Amino acid sequence: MRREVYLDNNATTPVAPEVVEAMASYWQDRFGNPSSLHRKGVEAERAVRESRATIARLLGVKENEVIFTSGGTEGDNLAIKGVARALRRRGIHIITTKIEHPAVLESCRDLEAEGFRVTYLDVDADGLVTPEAVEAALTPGTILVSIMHVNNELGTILPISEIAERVKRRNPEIVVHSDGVQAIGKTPVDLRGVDLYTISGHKIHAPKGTGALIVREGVRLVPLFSGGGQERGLRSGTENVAGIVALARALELACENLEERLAYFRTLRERFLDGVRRIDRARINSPERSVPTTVNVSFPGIPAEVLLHALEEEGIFASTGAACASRKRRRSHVLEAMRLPPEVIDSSLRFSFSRYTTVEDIEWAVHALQHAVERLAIEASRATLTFTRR
Amino acid sequence: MRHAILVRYDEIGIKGKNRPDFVRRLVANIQRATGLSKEEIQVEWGRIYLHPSGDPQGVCERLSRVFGVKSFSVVLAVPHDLDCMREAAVELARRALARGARTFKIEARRSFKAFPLNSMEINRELGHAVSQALPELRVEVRAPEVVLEVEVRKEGVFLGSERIPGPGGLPVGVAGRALLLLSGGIDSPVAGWMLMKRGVAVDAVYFHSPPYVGEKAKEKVLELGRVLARWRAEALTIYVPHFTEIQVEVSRVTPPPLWTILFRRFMHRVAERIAQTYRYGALATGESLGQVASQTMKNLACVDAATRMLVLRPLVGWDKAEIVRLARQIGTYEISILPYEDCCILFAPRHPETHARLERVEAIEAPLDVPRLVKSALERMEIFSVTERDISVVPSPSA
Repeated sequence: MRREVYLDNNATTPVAPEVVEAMASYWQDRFGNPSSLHRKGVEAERAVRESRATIARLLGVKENEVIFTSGGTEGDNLAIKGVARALRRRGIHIITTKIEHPAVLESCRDLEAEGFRVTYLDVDADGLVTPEAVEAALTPGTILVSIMHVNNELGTILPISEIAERVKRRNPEIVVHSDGVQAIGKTPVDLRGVDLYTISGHKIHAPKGTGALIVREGVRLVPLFSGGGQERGLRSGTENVAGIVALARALELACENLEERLAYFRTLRERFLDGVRRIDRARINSPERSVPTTVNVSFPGIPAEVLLHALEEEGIFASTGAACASRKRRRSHVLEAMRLPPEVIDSSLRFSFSRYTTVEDIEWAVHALQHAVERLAIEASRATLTFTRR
Repeated sequence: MRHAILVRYDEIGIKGKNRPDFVRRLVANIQRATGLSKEEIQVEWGRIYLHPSGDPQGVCERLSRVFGVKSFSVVLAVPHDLDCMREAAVELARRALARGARTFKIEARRSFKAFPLNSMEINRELGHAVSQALPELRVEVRAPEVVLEVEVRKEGVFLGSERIPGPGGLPVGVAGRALLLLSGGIDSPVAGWMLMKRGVAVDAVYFHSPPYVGEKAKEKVLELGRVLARWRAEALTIYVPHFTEIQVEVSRVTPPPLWTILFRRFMHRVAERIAQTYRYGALATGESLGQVASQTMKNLACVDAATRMLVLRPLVGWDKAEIVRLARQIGTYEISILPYEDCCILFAPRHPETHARLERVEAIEAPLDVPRLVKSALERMEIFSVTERDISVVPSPSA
């Protein structure tokens, strides 16, 4: 079989064999509804309780602070809309950034339509939002600050603990949310001062449709769904028992030996960057302060989508950092927020690694990349006038 | 009393020698589209009756996409017996009443002259029966809410109250076979549909140029093919030649303003070869005059000069808004507006030539090894067979 190298782990990951094993019995044998009063229900309820305990322990929170969701998008929606709607009598001002995931940005837009006021903070050249900038944006009416932990396109690590601390010092009533979907297993997670934290299963080798929102005690939320009152009434709907078990197991895998794994990821990243730097016209967009699993790089003049497909022909799967050079699709709001020149944005690719990425994978990818860029540079030079002027 | 579907077709333009072929084709297409057996289809002079053993609703839904069908009705079929006719008329009137109708009239036609009552008498008899049984319904001759049609024919009596319009046109297949240049855009699927409506059996060719466009662009075209296949009543073949080498070579050797025309000339040449191999009588495109700067009369002439094929352009005089409206009706619009593009921006010149001269185009093309490039596109051609339900790969006899 042809060699395949999957370097699009920020989009989604394969489910780990350990996770499949952990969840397997909950599909057909232990399939009960946790709300049922009989043994089958008790069995399922226990699985959910144990998973909740595991997750709480790994993230350093209390068990009742773990609310299971269907993933990152739901977690972000529940956190942001839930808080805003619960606190609207106290204030209507929300602070977030221009580089958030659409789940956050679109939730904020929905709230604007409901009469809330949202400040979208700019980022600096490194894609960072400083605690000072957040503090400067606070107003007496601010009720919520939502700032992602790790950016999905660049890998930038934002200083959420410091931000939370600043915010709380000014006004402990303000709720702090962070989207941690891209942070788990890629950087140490410290939730001090953070009231709400979104995690997603399929980015850490659990199945799609799994996730959790950490909701600190005392934080009031208006739920999105009405129904049977599961998850402290914050998330009605029969628990996805197998998915919950899978999420807990995947989080265990992501957190064990984290330091060692990060060191391994850093070797991968160094190898990759060494190779990429040797390619003509390469420009690294990921800042120094980013997770070692994400590298965003541009080859100005070569449309990202073309390079993506050329790599695909070699069995390398990556992602366009910014959709394509076409006028139909929007440019990446993240790279635009960094004020990168259009030709850098339109040619940016994102490579993201996982625990299954090997050094050989990286070398193979760099080699293919080198080859593809050389080949396409000729096409691009011919069309340069056409391409860059748009 | 049993249900049947009465299918009417337009007879204008099919008088004389064409008629038997037309009807035979229409019946075959109806059979394929509906999945009915031969026994369930009854062909009479000027009419086709379907006697589905299963659900007539599904059959109706599919009939509404069979070209050549002018209209159809779900009817009750009864023997030549006045009591049976009364019973059926009352039944239909009861259903109309349940749907909220308050006025009706009976409209009988008697082609079977041996039936003892004439149409006026039938109207009177059945009208009376309905009024007696359902006093809430009132006879209203001028503008009734419901017209109860009664056809007394040799093979039986058919009563129906609702004519459902068909798509009209000619049965696919009576007007030959054409090869449609299908891009991912809005226009070309509509052009294909227009030709099918005129009885042309349309298959398609899509020019794929990886890595400059992705798999999703190809997938999108196959999806468009699935929608078109619904109107064809049988599988649509999509030929996917490998266009990359042509694009790279043309852009290497020639000035950007002429690229679009040269690409199209090559597309037509490749399509012509496919047409010769697989017996198509014409090429078809979704071009419309002046639609984009490159679709001018002079440019189209330059493209046509590349082959000796007849090129059909059914949308030539259409506005974009008209094309979009039809694309929505056909069901291709939502697919066409997906963002995956069929031509990479690297090969889209900023200032395309709008008034190409053939002599100049030919001179600029001269250094290119045309036969070799055409061959390169065909050598790596994929062929797909697409139906509404699935997409399958056809083993390609390497051209």
